[in-house]
Amino acid sequence: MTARRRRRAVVGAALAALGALTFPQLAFGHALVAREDLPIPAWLFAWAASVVLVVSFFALSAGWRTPRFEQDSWRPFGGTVSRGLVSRAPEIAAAAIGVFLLGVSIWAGLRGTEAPDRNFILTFIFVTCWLGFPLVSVLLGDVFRPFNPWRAIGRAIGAAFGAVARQPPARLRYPEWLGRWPAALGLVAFVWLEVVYGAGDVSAGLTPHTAAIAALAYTGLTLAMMALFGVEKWIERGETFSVYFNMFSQLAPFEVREGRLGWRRPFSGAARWATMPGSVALVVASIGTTSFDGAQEGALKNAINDTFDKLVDAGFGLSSALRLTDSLYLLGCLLGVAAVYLLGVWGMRSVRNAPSLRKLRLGFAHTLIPIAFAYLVAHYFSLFVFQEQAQFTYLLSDPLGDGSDIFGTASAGIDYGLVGATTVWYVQVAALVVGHVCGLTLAHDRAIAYWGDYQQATRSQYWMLAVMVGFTCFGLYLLSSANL
Amino acid sequence: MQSNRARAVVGVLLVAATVVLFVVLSGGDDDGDSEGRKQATTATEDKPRIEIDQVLEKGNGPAPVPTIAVKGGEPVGGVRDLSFASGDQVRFRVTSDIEGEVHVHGYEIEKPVTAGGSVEFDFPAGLEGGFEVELHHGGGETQIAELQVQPG
Repeated sequence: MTARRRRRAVVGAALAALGALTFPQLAFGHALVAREDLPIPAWLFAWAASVVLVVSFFALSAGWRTPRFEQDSWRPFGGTVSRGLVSRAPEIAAAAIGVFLLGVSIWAGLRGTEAPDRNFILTFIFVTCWLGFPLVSVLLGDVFRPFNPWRAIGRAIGAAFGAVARQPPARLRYPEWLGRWPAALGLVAFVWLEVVYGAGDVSAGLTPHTAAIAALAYTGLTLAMMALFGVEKWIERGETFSVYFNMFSQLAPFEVREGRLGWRRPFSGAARWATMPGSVALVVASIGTTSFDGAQEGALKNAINDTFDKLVDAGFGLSSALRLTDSLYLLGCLLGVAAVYLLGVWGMRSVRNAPSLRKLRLGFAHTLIPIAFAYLVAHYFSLFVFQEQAQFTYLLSDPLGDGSDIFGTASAGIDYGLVGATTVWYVQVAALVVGHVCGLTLAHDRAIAYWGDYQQATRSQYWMLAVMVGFTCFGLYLLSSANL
Repeated sequence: MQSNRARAVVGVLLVAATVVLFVVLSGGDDDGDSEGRKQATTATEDKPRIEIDQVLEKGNGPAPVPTIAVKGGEPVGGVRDLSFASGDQVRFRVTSDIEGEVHVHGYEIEKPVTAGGSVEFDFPAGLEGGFEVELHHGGGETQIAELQVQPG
């Protein structure tokens, strides 16, 4: 989000170069955040990178010899706990809250102020939900599922249809080869809307109005797909937010099965996650899009600005040049992340008694989930901490930004002193290191399961180790070059 | 076996390349860090930091604060980097040939500036992070400086 500020100077310079006389109205009068993270200092970078390397080599030599996460360890809680949390009444309440909040967002976007930071919708969707649900999911499991407004609407419509027609609605067969691909594409589209389309602030960035239209369009698409393929089918494979948040929930120790809440060994859910096509694409999309958002503020800034200048020289309009440039680099990040992972898979194939390439590719996809989560924390921790203050004070009391004060908190502001720069650094680095260790753990466990033989398994893990060290240190590098 | 060895070599080379990359990168960052330490030292000596910028810029005797000149709505010499240690006194001046308001994000300080006039800022650096300094003018806003407040 912050890159647009820097870019504005470039756009200004380009305008001056073009001899434009009037500076166009900037749609993003104020971007969401008024504060940017400082790059992590060199000593912290060096320490973190060393810890990552040492931990990795330790992991290779001291790994366990029988798989620990492959066995399904789910055990239901007692009846009262289960009934209290996942019975009919709380389910209906959660669904109602989800639909209500989606409604408030769209209403605020359509009727409220066009100032992005004063309108409920942008912060609620792009910060509170987009960053909040992965966090909650990792800790507590798939919390989004009961609150999912589209699932609620889809089920309500389905029930109504069933009552009127006296038969269940006819469904198309979902093509199984498509797997989670629609969700992966949706994820890229969503981030594109936020960081690429939204960055083109010269004439029309991502305004609350546009976001509301996008939300309506997505609602229409989702309901149509649910009508075609069935609510649950689409929730599991195509509905981006469900599939994406569910991916993170695989790390959590809690899971609901057939209406019963239960406990499982943390991370053990992940081992059974990547069973359908598109799973690799989804986790790669998560890491790639976050990388791009981090890199455009630092590591890739100059390259992006150069390409932008070239496109402007080539006769593109400023907005389209900016969006085209960002799109190209976003695509580059996605391909780069995919290439690194596939290289690791290709390497593992060379180890004796290796399973097929396809089995390896799907079989290790879940080991990237902790890395994807670590990237999210590293890049958005401060944004989340500061912007949530806005969410729960003035955006709650004054969702439209029209001067109303529902809960009496409309005049509160964001305290940018709440978390110091040093704390942000430590959280960022700790997230990457912990994510790295978790990824290695999952990969080691899977290798033991696939090879059986400890020595061959360890040999295969040189490759995943290189992949993870690569991702973690790239993440550190992005942090160290932020906003330079 | 032969192909395995080739793969192993590729792997070792990749790791080596990664390590070299880190050394290079952290080496580059070291300069920034020692600079930061220099600033921190001057700050602890309890002297106002020597404003090398201004001395170079003005050339004639010590000027009180760094000055950002705005011409035609754009900062002369591009977006200026202002770096302070947490707890220091942030001081800078903006001269502008157009009328507008200078806005320090995060700190939420806004001061008007007249065409051809100047405005001075002097406030304690209480919030850490990177903050944008903008000139709001006739329907547009331009970033003129980037204020960085490093942990003290």
